[in-house]
Parts: sequence; structure tokens; C-alpha cells
Amino acid sequence: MKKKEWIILAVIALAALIMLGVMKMIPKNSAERDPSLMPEEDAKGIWVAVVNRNKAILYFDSGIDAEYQVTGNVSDMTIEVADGRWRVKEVECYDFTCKNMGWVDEEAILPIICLPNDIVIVDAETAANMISEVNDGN
Amino acid sequence: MGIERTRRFVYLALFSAMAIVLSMIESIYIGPVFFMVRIGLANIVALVTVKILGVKEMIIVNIMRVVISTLMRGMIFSSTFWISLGGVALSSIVLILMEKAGSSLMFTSVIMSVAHSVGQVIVVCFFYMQAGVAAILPYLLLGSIPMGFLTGITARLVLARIKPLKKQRE
Repeated sequence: MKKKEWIILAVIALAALIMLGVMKMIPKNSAERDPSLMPEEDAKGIWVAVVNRNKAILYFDSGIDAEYQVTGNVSDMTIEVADGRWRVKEVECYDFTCKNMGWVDEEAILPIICLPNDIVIVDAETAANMISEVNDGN
Repeated sequence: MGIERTRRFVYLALFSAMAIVLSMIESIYIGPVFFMVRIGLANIVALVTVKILGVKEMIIVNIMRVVISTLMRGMIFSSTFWISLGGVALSSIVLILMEKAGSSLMFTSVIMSVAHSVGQVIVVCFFYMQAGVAAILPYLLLGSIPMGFLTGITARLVLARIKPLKKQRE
């Protein structure tokens, strides 16, 4: 590889690192609660939404250890909640990216996304914004 | 001329088959190596095809790989198909540009891998109408660089063992 090519790769890597740093500094989304899109009572942990086809199909409290079953576009999915964290325990799609993401908590930068099932598991406030943004666009 | 034409068709069919099989093996059995970063095994075939056969054939192989592998998994025209197509389209454009610019194979492989990730993220952002999904991009960019080197090294090993047909024609 030429020297110029190494420089370009270094610039790309540096840009990615700067983007990561900036993301860490940006405060998390703190949208106001929309009661039509979120449970009204206070959660022990935080409310987490399971969004399928731009609709919240399940809300769960991250402070209560439990297992939930939801159905996506192609298969069922089992979500496990324990110690304030949540993960996809079982899914029958071909991809398993969501399952491989492992445990996620409220500090996680990325939500759990299952593309084949079109399911996003994300904190309820972010989910409310996702749903309302889609609705605004309609 | 007839034999040459037949040989090119045979190579094209073989490369298409290899790209489809590698793509399916990677998505079903291997999965992400780190976080959401995949190796991009089928990119090896794209790199080899562009060097052995040429740009037009590389585009055919890439289109075949996306269409047939998603068709065989029952995901044709689903979100997975469009995301895959987004990645392949951008990486193919970059591969053509790099080929015309005369870049080294290793650099082409890494930039192609980066372009693949960027293309996929752009389509995901459109699907979920969430620019925030782009938060995944820095992780993918950092992961794409070593994966690009890996595919580049493999492509170089393969190319050292196959005669380039496009040079025979010239």
C-alpha cells in the first residue's frame, strides 16, 4: 500500500474515533412523556418498548426480572429482563444479530434491532419519538 | 474466440455461485465477528472478479449474490434485501472508482468494506426514519478496516493462483 493510502485509512479511523467521542458527549434524548405512547405509572427501572412495524407491541419495566414473548414479522422472540438489563434470549430468525448483541441496559448507545422481524427494543422515551416521528410523516 | 467466451461464462457462473454460497454461509453460520461487524466473505469474490473478468462482470456477480441469497432465505424485497443491496451498491461503485484510480488491492478492499458499511447504514436510517441509527457507523467503520485487510489478503492469495482473463483478451 502507498503512503497516501495509509494516510486515508488513518483519517477514516480517526474520524470514527472522533464520532464515538462526540456521541459520548451528547446528552441522551430526554423527550417529554407522551401518555398515549407510554405506561403512565412509574417504573422500578425504566420503561422499555418493543417496537414492531412502528407500533409499540410491548412495554416492560427493566426493574422487574421477567421473560416476555413477542411475535415479529418472521418468528417469535423471547426477551429476558434481569438486574436492570435486557436481552433477546431466543429468536427463530436466520440472522441472530439481535441475540448476539447480548445484554443491554439504559446506558447502551444502540438499541437491540432485529431486521428480519422488524423489531427494535429501545427505551420507551426514544420509542415514543420514533413512533411520533413516523406518525408526523404520515 | 468461442472458447474464450465460454471460459468467461464459466468463470462468471463460478464466481456468482461462490459469492452466493459465501454470503449465505456468513449470514447463517458465521454471523457478526465483533458487535455488528461481519467479515464480508463475498467481497473477496467481488475483488477477484473485478481483477479476473472486469467491472461489468463484478456488477453481475454482486447483483446475483444479493438477489439469489435473499431469495433462497425467503427475504427477497424485505428490509434485509434493501439493506444488503445498499451496501453492495455503494461498495461496487467504490470498487469501480478505485479500479480506475489504480489503487492497490489492499486499499481497495478496505475502502470497499468501509463503503459497504456506510451503504447499509444509510438504508437502515431510511428504514427506521431515525438518523440516530447512524450512531452505529463509527463502530462499523472501525471494524471494517481490519475486515477489509482480511478480505484483501485472501483476495491477493486467490489472485496469485488464477490467470486474469481480461488481460488474455487484450
